[in-house]
Amino acid sequence: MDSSSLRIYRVIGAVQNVIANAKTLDEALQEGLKTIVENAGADGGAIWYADTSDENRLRPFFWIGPVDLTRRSHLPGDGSVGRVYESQTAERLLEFDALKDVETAIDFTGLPVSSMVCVPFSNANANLGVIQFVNGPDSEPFDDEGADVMEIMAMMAAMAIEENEALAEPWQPGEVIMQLRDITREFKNGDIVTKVLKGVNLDVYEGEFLVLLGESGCGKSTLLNIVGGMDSATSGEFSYLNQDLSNATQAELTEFRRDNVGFIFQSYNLMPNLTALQNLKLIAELVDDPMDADEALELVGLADRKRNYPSQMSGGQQQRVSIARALVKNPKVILADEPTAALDYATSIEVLQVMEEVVKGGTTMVMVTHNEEITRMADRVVRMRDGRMHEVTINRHPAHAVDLVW
Amino acid sequence: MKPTQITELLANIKATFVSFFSILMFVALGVGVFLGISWAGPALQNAFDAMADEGQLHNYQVQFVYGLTDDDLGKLSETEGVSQVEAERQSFQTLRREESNYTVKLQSLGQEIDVPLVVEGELPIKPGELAMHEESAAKLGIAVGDSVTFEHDVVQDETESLQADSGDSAEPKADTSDGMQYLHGDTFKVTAIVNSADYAARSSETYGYSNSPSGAVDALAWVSDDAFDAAAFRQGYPVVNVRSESLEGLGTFGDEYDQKSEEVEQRVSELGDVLAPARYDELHDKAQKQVEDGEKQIADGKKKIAEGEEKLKTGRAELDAAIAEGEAKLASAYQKLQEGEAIKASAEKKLSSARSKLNEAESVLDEVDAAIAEVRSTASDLKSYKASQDKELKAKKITQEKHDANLDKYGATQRSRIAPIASAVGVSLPSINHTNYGDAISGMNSAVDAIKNTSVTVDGKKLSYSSARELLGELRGEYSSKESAYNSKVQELESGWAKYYAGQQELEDKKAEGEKKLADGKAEVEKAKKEIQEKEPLLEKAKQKVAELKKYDWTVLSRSHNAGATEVLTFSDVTKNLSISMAALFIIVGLLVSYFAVSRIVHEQVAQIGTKKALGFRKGEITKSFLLYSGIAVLAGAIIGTIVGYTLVEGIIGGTLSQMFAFGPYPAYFGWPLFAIMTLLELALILGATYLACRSILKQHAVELLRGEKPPTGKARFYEKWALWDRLPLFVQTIVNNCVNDRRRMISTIVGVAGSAALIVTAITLNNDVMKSYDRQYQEDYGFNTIAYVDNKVEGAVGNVDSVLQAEGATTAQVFMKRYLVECSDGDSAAMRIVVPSDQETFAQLYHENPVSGGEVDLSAEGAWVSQAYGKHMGAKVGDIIIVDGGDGSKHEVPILGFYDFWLTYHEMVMGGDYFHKEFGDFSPNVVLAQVGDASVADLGKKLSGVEGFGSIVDDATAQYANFEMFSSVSSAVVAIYLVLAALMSIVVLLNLNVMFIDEKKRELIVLMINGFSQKKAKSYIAYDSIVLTVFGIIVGVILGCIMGSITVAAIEPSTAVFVKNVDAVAVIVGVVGSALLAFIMGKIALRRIPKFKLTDINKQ
Repeated sequence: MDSSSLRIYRVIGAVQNVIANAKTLDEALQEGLKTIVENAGADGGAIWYADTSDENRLRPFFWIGPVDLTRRSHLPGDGSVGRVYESQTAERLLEFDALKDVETAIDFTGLPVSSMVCVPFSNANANLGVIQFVNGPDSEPFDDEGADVMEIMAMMAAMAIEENEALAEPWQPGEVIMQLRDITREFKNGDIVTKVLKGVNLDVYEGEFLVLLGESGCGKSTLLNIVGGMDSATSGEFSYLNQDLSNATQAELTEFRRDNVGFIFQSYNLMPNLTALQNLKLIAELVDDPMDADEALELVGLADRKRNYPSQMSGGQQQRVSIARALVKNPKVILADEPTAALDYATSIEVLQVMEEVVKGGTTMVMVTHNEEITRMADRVVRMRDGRMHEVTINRHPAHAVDLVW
Repeated sequence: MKPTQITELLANIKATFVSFFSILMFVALGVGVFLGISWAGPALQNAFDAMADEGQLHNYQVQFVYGLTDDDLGKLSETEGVSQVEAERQSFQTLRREESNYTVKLQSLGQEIDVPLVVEGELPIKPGELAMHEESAAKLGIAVGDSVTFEHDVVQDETESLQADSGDSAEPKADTSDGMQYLHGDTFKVTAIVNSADYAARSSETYGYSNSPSGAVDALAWVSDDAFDAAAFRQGYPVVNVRSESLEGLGTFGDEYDQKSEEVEQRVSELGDVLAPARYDELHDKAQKQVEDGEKQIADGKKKIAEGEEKLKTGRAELDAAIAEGEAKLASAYQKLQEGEAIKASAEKKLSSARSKLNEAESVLDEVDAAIAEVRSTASDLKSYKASQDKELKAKKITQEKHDANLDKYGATQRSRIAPIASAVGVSLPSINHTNYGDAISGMNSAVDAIKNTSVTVDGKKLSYSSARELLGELRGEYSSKESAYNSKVQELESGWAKYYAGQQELEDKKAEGEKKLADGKAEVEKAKKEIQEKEPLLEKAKQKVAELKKYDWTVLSRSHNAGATEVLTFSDVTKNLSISMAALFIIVGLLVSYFAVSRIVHEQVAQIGTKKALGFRKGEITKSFLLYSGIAVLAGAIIGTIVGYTLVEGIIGGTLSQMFAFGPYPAYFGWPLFAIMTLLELALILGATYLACRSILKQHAVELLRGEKPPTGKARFYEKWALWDRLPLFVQTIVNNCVNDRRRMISTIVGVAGSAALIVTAITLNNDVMKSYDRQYQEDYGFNTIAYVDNKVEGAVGNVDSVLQAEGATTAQVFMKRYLVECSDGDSAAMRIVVPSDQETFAQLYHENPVSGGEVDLSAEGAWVSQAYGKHMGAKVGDIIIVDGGDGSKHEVPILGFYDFWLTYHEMVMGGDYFHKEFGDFSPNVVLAQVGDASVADLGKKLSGVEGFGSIVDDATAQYANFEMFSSVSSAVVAIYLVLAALMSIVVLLNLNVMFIDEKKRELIVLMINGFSQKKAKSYIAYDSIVLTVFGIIVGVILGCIMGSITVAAIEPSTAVFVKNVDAVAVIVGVVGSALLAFIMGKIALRRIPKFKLTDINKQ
């Protein structure tokens, strides 16, 4: 057995292993794709599944790579993904020509595609969708051998899925309220220039609970800051409700934050000299139609603490005041940066419960966390790595806060 | 601003009260010090105005060299804007008290204007009563009820001399029988002690000038107008005081007063422009007429002399002729008398011959009679003797033998007695013994007969004794007849001589009488000639005076020329300048404190600011909250500062200033405009500083702020590359980096310490430099310490005074020294003392003119060297011209040759005698400068009191010391304020900084202590930083203090003085020690927090 065969078997074994150990189908697919992409050395990959409720329209449900496919979809026959689904035949575009496959090029805006392999994803019962791999190792085109591996692994993953395991109802994102395209952010410290964001393409949808996840320094907080208008990108485009804020002045960004964004901070950042109620009122007075501060406090369960100063409250209570403060403006978006990082488990759950309720109320929530468990609550999880979106997961089974355990 | 934002602001103030209080405190200090000192000026001015109102101080004083007449006063009172006009008489009197002469300015009591304000007693109502100025009374030791007698008055201006020269007998002249030219009497009873708004300043320097030896006025007094001899002022009133209704109620020092005052002044001046020339013309014409009358009188006199001389000539001729005639008559009579004398001599000769013969005959006969008598007498004697011998023999008193012997002896004697006679007549005489006495006596009788028979020759004839006797009788009758005739002729001759002598005497008398008449006539002519000779120069002088009679203008002096007002303005300026320099200090420090306080708050609240920004607060809203924070502090500080300034600072300054003025303690001043300006300025500056402090933070994105403060850049500090750095202990490296990395604290601490040090150094420098100026004057510039004033009109007086002083061991120099008014480049006038040495060599021993500019002082050059203050404050420079008012209306242009060190509080000018003589005319020394060492000036005064012409002797060094003490007292008040402020600054800044620093370092300190640092070591960790910063702060503060000291010293300089501005070693030492001590105390207090730290706090966020 030659070395390449050995490598293929090892990868297949690994895929079988993650699928076998996965708790859910989604997890199995995600982990399987990750294993394949990592082992194949591909730049990215995506799992498209067929929405049976919508003419088998292929929608992405998990992908790896610095692109946002959330709102992308292909009808069977459209583009390479549609063609593969329709033909159930793997397609190898070892030398990808964007002009010939515009749909795919659009899908991967932000990631220049040089080669692509699409493999039908189906088991004995149904054609589930398509697994797509983009660019070979070091962004070089796939070679035939590599493409073979892609196809084999995809088929094996499909076969590993039990028949009764069907994909859940597809997640229906709301309207795009924020758009980020090729966002980069550099920081200069003396002579040293640090590129924290290296090209992020992300949409934020109305009403979603989006979690940004990643290791320290991956750029998730920086991205949150740009999304929240607290920071400006070095390059790229950022818009909110079709209002281009890419080159917004500080004053315009302030107005954007003032009218649309609520913030929840890891360290609460309550005004120490004001009571809980005063902290809320301070913010409520900024907008024309705020929520009643008392009501907001009631929402977070701290009506009886309204006269307490921050120093007279526990961390969880302070964070709940912080959430109420974010809510009191009736913002469209609430951004939360590690809101539970400083809290113990029980307190964290309390806080997350409040946040869950907030999202349920229709407010878009973008949260930065490094707590994997919390991602289970999210509608969508963006994993950041090295200043880029590394993978995106659409959580088709969001968990409740009370179900989270860590 | 939204309600909750206000709530947050107030909560923020509460939470950061120390910082808030720091800003408030410095604003309060800045405002308080500035307003307090600034308002000291207006308060002083108001006090002056109050006194001016009470004393009805003139708005203008009109002076005219030729005097103002009643007509002038009438026209003056009709001038628009003039409401009251009152004439004032003045004279300068010499009052002797305790061996010294004092020049007293005596003025007529104002009835409506310049009414003296009674301190004690009642104003004079009779001519012999006098009101004494309070300050003068204290100086001369005079009280109500005392009596003062003036010695003589001082002729003061050329009006008087003009009058004296005029010879106009038609006008009444002053009665000078009592030695007083201007007063009716010389003795006055003091009925009141008064003050006058015209002399509001206590310093006698402000009393004006006189023609006394010192040129100074030593004391002031008022008498009723009746006390003055109106005749002495027949030419006019020297001074007329004027009040204007349009200036009623206006402050003397306000712009409105100036503006309106100038309008009236202009009108009065215009009136003067009309009346002064008319007065000149009148005087000129009058003087010209007097000159012409004089010329006529002299011409008449000359004519009379000529006539007299002619009469003398005729009289001489007549007299000579009469004398000649008389003498001729006398000569004729004399000749006749001489002839009579010759006849008389001849007759006398004949008589003499006759008498001679007669006498010869008588002589012969007498000889015969004598011989007879002798013989008879001898016979008698023998008889008597014989009888007496016999009686004795008989009585047996003698023996016979003895008897016989005696008779023998006696007989022999008698015989020899008559022997010649017996021989002549041819009678033989026997010897006579005891046996023949009887015979002898008989023989003698015979002898008598013989004698009678002997012939005698008479008139050539031999006659018998009897014939001869008859002839002699005849001759005697003839002689008597001739002699009688002769005597008759002699009598006639003597009568002729008597007549001759009487005629001669008569001629002599007539001659003498004629000569006398001629001499008298000649004397009269000579007298007339002499009178003419005497009057001719006077006439020439009068002619010259008329030719030189100048046209003078009225001098209209507004209140800006009032010495008291000028003093008020000087001190107002001093306080104003002080307030600016002090306020500048506090504003600068306050700004820095505010900047760093707000900066610190901002940095402490970075996360909150970031949160607010993140939550949508606009930059402006956040900025506004900080601005409001500072704004409230500023407003509160401004109000507190205003209260402190109004009550405390004004009180201190006012208390000091009030001692220099007659009006005493006065109320404080409050002015809205300055309060508003200062508050707005503080507001603008502090808000600006606040904005600057938070601008950079607010510029940052919310996310940057939320991330907290940026760590310092990774770049190594330059000093870390030094080899020495690596050798330093880590502890030291940490301290250095702590200081360098926490720049805000570093700068704040340095500023705080520097502020304290600067205040102390400034305060001490201010205090010391003023007095140092005095020391420098009398150590480096003046070699003398005493001035003796002498009346140089008394010949030899200066030399005599000089000799007495030298005899007492003093080093002396004679100079001419007098104060003159000089015109400054800005048009105002200033007093300047001109010093002219009589001997440069001796002068140089006592007066060292250290040149400032213009090179070495050369008193042979044409021009003057001037005290440096004039150059500095009047903007004069070498080559400029100073116009000196000669005091007699003349103006002299004196070029400035250079400036010299001079530290006293008046202007001075030194020039050579030749130049002075050329420019000002004759002069002689009137002052003896003396270095008397420690000798008592009072004792010297007593020794000099007998020297004619001695005026007074003044301990100049002591007198000037009092003057400097006045400035020093102002600066001492400021020094006290500075020192209090230095302590406050230490408390506010240093204590605050130390406490904040320790709080900031709490976590670090706890970590260190957890790791084994003792509390002492942990304190050191903080203290060493502070020590390093304190040292830097002290260095900066001392430098700043020295600069500020110079600026402040310059600020309190009056326009007549320059004070020494040196780095004061004492100030530096006190500044270093004081600020170090304050820093130490504040650090010590702050360090007491460290032992209270709980190590478990490390877990608290």
